[in-house]
Formats: sequence, structure tokens, C-alpha cells
Amino acid sequence: MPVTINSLPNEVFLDILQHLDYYGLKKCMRVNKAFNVIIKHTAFDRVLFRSATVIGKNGIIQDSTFYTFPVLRHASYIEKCPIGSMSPPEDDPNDTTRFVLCHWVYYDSGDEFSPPDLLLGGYWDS
Amino acid sequence: MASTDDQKIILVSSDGVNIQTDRIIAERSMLIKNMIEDLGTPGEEPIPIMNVSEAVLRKVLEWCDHHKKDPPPEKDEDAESRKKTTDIEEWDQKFMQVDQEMLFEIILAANYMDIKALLDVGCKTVANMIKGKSPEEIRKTFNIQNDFTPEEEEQIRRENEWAEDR
Repeated sequence: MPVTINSLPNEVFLDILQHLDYYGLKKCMRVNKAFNVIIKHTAFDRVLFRSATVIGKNGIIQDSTFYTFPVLRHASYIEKCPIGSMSPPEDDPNDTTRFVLCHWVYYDSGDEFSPPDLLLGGYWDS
Repeated sequence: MASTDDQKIILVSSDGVNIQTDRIIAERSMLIKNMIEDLGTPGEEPIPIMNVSEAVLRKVLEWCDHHKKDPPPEKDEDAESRKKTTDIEEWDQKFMQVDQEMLFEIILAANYMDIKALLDVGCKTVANMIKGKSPEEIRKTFNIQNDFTPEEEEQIRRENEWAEDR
């Protein structure tokens, strides 16, 4: 039997899907059952669609759903993932200075979001 | 005493072909690295690579050869290096210009042989093939069938709205 994309083991398939953003994933759900099942699975749903944490400028962790942060739709899981595991800088172990997924400039000024505006990972200038 | 660098080892593909290579090249594969460490006598015994055919193994070793000087992967390197999907270096892009079956064979081999960087390049390559395509174009690209019934398709279209308001 020829090897196709659907012969890949789930964890590898998931690796591939992690590079896609929300819009890409939604299209993939309509490709076939194999794509649909893996994306719709609740565990993946959480990993792929909503696992970003946003820490506001005031250091308060904010709700990070697509509804509150539409900009997340443009970020792939791979882009969201390292941010959550970032450790605070050595000279300032204070967790509240850390921002996780940051688009505060645009968020605060109320401008439109666009993918290049995403600033992923890093620390506040204090 | 020979340094680790020019030590030779022999790998055996799933179709029974012996392939000689440098230890430093083969050790891009964590599977092989661990096997060599377990055996303790590098070079003396051929190492069977059960799930990988000669053609694919040669291709994988070509990649390992090119990347033999890369720093060994670190536990936390993922954060920076995996950030951008489009970041595939030019040599790797060319390397991945193979027919699809070979592409997926390479990915499977990288997964089995535990070569994280190669697996990553493979996954990024496939992700780039998906990006910006409609479901129908994705099917065409990967030569896969739409196995939904019209009713199921309609259902999915409706379900697909679920994430919008969260």
C-alpha cells in the first residue's frame, strides 16, 4: 500500500497540524474523516485551537479564547506553544513581568490585528 | 586510537542491505546513538534499522551527513527554532523536493530513528503544502478521497462554526 499523509502516525500528523492556524485547521477538518477526527478530538481541540495564554500589560493573566483575542486565530500552535513554556529572565524572576502571547500595542490602541503584528514571546520592558 | 569522528559503523536496512557510514553521521539518529552506547563496541556489529528501506535510509543519511556538524539538539531548543513554519533552510528545502511517497517515508523514518530536526523539517514541508489550500485542493495535493457523505459534509459545515464564538 502506498504511503500517504493518512498513513502517518497520529503524533506525527499532529506535529504537521500544529503548524497551521485556526483557518488552516478549519479547512483541514473538511478534507476527509481522518483529518476531521484528529482535529475534532477534544484533546487536540484544546491543544490546537486554544492553548495560548495571554498576560496583559498589568500582569494579569487574561482569558485567551478566540472570542476575546481574535488575533489568536492567526497563530499556529507552534507559535503559541513555546510561549507558555518560557521561563522568566534570570535577573528578574518575577513572573508578572513575563508576557506570553503579546500583542499589547495593538490591543491597547484598538487597532486592527494582522498576523505580522503578532509578537510572540518575550518580556515586558519595565 | 581513532577518534569518534572517523569511526565507521554499518547499518542494515529493512531490505537487508549493508550501508557503511561514519558514526558521527549516524548519531544524528538518537535511536542509533542509544544503540551504539548500549552495544559498547561501535563498528563491530552491524546495526539493523528494521523499519527503513535502503533507498530511504540512504536519503536520511544524506541529510544526517549534511547536518553532522549541527549542534546536538537541546531539550528546550523548540521554543525558538520551531517558531516559524516558513523557516526551512534552503538546503533542506531542496532535500525535501522528492515525490510524496518518499517525503512521507522520510518522515516515518525520522520518527522511527528519532531524528527530531529532520522530522521537524518534514512536518513543516507538509504543513506548507497544506497552507492556503481549500479542502478540495488538499485532497488533490495528497491524492486522498473525500469519504464524507453529503449529509456528513453539511453537518461539518455547521459544526465548523463551533469555535467562532468561543
